[in-house]
Amino acid sequence: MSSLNIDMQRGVVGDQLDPDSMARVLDQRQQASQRALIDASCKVPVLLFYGSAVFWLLIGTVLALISSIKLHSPNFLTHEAWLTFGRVRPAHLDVVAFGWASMAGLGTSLWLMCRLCRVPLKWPGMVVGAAVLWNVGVLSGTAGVLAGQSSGIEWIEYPFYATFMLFVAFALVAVWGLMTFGRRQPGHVYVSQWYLFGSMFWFPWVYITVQLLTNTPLMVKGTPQESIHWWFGHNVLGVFFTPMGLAAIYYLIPKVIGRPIYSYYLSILGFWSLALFYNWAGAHHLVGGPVPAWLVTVSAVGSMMMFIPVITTALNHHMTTYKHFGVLRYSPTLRFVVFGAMAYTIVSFQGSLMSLRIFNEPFHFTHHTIAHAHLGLYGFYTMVMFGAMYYVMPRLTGHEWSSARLIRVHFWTVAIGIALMFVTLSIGGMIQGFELHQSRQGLGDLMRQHTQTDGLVSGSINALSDFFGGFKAKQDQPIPFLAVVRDTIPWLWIRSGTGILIFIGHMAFAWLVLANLLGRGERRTGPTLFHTDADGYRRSLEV
Amino acid sequence: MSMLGYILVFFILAGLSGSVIWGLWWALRGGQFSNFAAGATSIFDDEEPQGYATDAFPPAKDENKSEEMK
Repeated sequence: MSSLNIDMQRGVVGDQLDPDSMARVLDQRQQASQRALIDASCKVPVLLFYGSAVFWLLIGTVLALISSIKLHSPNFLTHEAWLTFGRVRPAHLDVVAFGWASMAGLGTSLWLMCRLCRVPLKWPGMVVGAAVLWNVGVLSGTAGVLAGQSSGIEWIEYPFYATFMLFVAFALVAVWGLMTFGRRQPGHVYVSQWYLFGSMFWFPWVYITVQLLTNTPLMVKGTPQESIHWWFGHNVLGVFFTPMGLAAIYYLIPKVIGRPIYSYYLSILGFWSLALFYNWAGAHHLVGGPVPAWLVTVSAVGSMMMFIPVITTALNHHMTTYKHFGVLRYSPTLRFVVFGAMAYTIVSFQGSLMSLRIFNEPFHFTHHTIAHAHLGLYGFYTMVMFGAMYYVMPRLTGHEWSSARLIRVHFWTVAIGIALMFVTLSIGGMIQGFELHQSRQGLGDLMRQHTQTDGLVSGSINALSDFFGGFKAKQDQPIPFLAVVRDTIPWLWIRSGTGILIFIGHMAFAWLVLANLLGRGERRTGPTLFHTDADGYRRSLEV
Repeated sequence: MSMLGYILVFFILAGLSGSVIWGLWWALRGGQFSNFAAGATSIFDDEEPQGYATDAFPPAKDENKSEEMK
């Protein structure tokens, strides 16, 4: 590179410039000013979405803790109707899903869409209005659920007045996102844009369908209602949260490390296979239910086909980061995002397997399913959103994060918390599942018995067959239901402990966000670029 | 479910599935699948080029002070 003296304010450059250098400098200046314009246009709406998301995250965590404690100490906070489990637990789910996860996702989506389309956000005031309306929707919906006005259908408990507000607010954001896509600079549509485009386009469609069929005179009841309910329940994750999370991963990992995705071909294949197969997966929640068997089988096939996008995505994430894991020591964004990407792989593999009847029958209606759901929405999605916010916010506020120590506290408390929660609830759920099916025999016992009589290979196969398929036949003696419930209590205590750990992490994060919004961090002169000259950081990139 | 409900569900699902196929056709026609190498590097530019990391922990407060002293 030629040594150029560039003054970004006055545009003065070195006195001996060849035309190529001059063109490059002008191009750089144009890109810098364009980036600054984009960030300025997004600043208020994205920060409003982020700030609201963190507020709802804290509320959702408190509701989660209350629900969790009630599971092992049922006399806790029972003096008021609105504090009973049947109201607090759905309020927790809705606040986390529509307050935290949606608002963090929408903020990230808007910023990413503008960045990738290379155009500023037009009329950001309308998006601010949408964010306000969304907050009113979440507030009134949660108040409605706590007041006993829940629809009783999981994921769509909010009363109609609240869902209507959420729909209008989301439609506004989606229209703005799609308008931005329409005004994009000519060039390639990056894979993250496809994912964002998908979530903005499909979610309103899915949401209005389930509302029409559960909350209006067109309401269906009985078995069809459950089919529609789980079609929506799974698609909230599949065509809304997952695409937003993957869009952020596909942008942030290459961007933070400074190298392109390992295989762009695989990333495109991953998107289109997700678009084609995820929508089919919802009915696997109805295994064993009074629905046509073909419906569940088709759903199981769709779920197994999801191995294609999951494997392609997992390969891409891992291979892009491969030999650059050292960057994790220096980048808060990458820590959270890589954790989320790894959780995505695990939870997706687990989810596909859980669609099979052989796995679903013993574990459905147990804490094992709760472990799976938390790994998906928290271990994957929430961790990615934390990472995205660590990346985006300083670029919008122009201030660095105020404390590296608090970021580390945040990371380790939530990472250990969710990992421990997943493991303990999975084990507790498995025990619960087998006990509910009245089988006292564990896999170890079965292995020992069968291998002694049938030999190693056929004995192992027979033991596995008994373990997963024949557990109903092993009813040596019935286990009373209350005994099954009691056996889950130690696992539920650990769950509450992990919840407290996560809450501490959230408090640290909330403080960091507040300090950043108040301009407590170091002021950055380059509003959009955070190059570092740390030697170790450079070396880790050169590996 | 009423007939109107069935018709509604049919059109919604047809539209949802159709949008995916239309999107795939649009991408194929627009040449989005023709140059993957360029696509992968499209997020980098002169200001945020390949080979440069763009995120780091904030420096420790002691480091800030020492830099200010300099």
